[in-house]
Amino acid sequence: MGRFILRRLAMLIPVLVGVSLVAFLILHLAPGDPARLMAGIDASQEDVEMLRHKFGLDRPLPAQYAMFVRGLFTGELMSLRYESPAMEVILPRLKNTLVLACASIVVAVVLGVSAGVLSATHRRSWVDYAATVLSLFGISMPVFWWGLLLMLLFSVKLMWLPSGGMGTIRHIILPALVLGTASTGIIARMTRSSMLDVLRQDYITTATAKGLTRQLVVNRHALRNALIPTVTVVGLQFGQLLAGAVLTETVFTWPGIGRLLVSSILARDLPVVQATLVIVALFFVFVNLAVDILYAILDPRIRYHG
Amino acid sequence: MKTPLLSVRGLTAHFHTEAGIVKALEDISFSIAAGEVLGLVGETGCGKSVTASCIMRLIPMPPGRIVSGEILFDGRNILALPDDEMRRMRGHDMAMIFQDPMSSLNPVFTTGYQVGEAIVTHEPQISRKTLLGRVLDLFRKVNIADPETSVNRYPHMMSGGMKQRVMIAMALSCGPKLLIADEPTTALDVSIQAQILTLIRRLRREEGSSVLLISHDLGVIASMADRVAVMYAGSIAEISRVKDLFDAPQHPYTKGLLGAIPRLDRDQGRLAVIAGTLPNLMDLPRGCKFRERCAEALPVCAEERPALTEIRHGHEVACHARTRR
Repeated sequence: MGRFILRRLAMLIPVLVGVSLVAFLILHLAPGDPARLMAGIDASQEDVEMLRHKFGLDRPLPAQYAMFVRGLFTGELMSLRYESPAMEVILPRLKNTLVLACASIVVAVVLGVSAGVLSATHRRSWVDYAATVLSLFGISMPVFWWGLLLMLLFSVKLMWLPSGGMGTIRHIILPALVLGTASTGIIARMTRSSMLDVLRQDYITTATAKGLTRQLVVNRHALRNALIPTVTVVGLQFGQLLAGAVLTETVFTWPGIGRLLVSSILARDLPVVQATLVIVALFFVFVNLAVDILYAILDPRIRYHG
Repeated sequence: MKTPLLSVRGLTAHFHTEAGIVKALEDISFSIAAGEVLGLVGETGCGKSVTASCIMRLIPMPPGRIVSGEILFDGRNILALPDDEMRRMRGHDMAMIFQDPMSSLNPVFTTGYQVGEAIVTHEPQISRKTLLGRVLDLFRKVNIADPETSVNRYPHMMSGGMKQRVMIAMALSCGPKLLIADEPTTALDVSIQAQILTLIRRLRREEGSSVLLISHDLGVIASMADRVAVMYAGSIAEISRVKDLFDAPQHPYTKGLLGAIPRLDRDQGRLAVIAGTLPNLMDLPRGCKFRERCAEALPVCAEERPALTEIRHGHEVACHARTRR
């Protein structure tokens, strides 16, 4: 297991090289001149050229890429927009987004797995139909609209929860719920189908024939097996939450990495955009590693060989 | 005759499917005395396993439905028991060994845990130490090599024969009065089959449990059972002591089955085949279910379903050709 983890960590290197190269190239292919944007509409051509030179934007691409990578490692990579180190801009917002994504995934796993299990054990009952309808509703609901609806109800009408910003636990409830809604639906559907599959297995009959209660058969014998495919989905969803929090963050003015990314793209703050993409990719790889480790914990048949 | 341990009377079970109602069991009656081994034979789909599942009340309802009949276990009709009381009997008073040991054990728990769980369920106050001792004893009893290591093994680390031993250990864990073995050797290699059968025979002698042994293999039945019931298309065709059945089969279907067994002691030429196929359980004919495949059919066979009738002491057969002469 230790060797497996080390090997997976070593695989980070090519992944990160690839991500940083792609991010770097795409942004340089995109139209728009960062120097012109920074200098402002009225600036003279000389001012623009001066800025261009100051930030090294006039150097050849390979040199710029090398500068970017060096900057990432030394922490000297500067944001064009804020004129402070890019990491100082990114890290606090990354933390905010991680907090939000973790809260959402907890909501999604708790609600999704429970709904999926109930659906499967009460197949073709009203519980199952209700859970199915709600799941599809959750999956298809546009985040901005759903967010606004909840905000209207809980913040404006009932005045129970704040409509935006962050700070207290009350601030996170609505955004976490909204961001986790689609994942809840997907996890519920996945859990339902894998649970139905597991409940048909012979070892479930064996467990029943032993005299176990239905509750133990479901929660002990079936759930653990049914969770194996669900874990894959949870891992993928977590990656989605990290990258896809933009809309939720915008609706609830949550100062996270999604909003930073979008505003940095609009401002052509290339170093911040590139560094953000690399960091998000890094987290994605870590989440996948965590999923693989969880597999081995859930299913003893899976053993990784270094 | 003293009251049998298990007595099935007029058991009829249906499955409601989208295509129609499958009449899986029709008026099944038999009994098993304490310490007796009853063999249940018949071809695939004739209702052997459904019968076993009804006795354990493991039939999923819906789609399954027990239409009529009763199953008396120790004098109590278990079909009328509340779910929780039935649950406490499962694994404790009656236990089951399944056909496929490969899929009958939960892949994510150790074998020791799964056997121990059967004991804890019925004796919740047992201490960890006593429990481990009991599990190790059971593993030794069913000849699992190196029990101390084996209890910590997961099913995928064991061979099919070893897994079936674990299943047997699990079934015996609470000393059940009735052991139902549903094709316990079908999924195993021939050499392992013999070992498992020897094991079941030995344990039966030591534990004194009654056994309902389900098999489509007449050889297995001949070597294990005291009495045998032959099933055909959801009904019992014939019940008798094993010796009588093999020496003097009465039902044409039983004769056909015995004729289809290759024998080493005489030259048979081609094996006999029973012509035709099983009737559709969703659309059973009037009269005898075996009539269309039967060489001895009488006119009455098309009209009336034959009832199981005792023609000699302990030998019952459901055939007009035998009972109407």
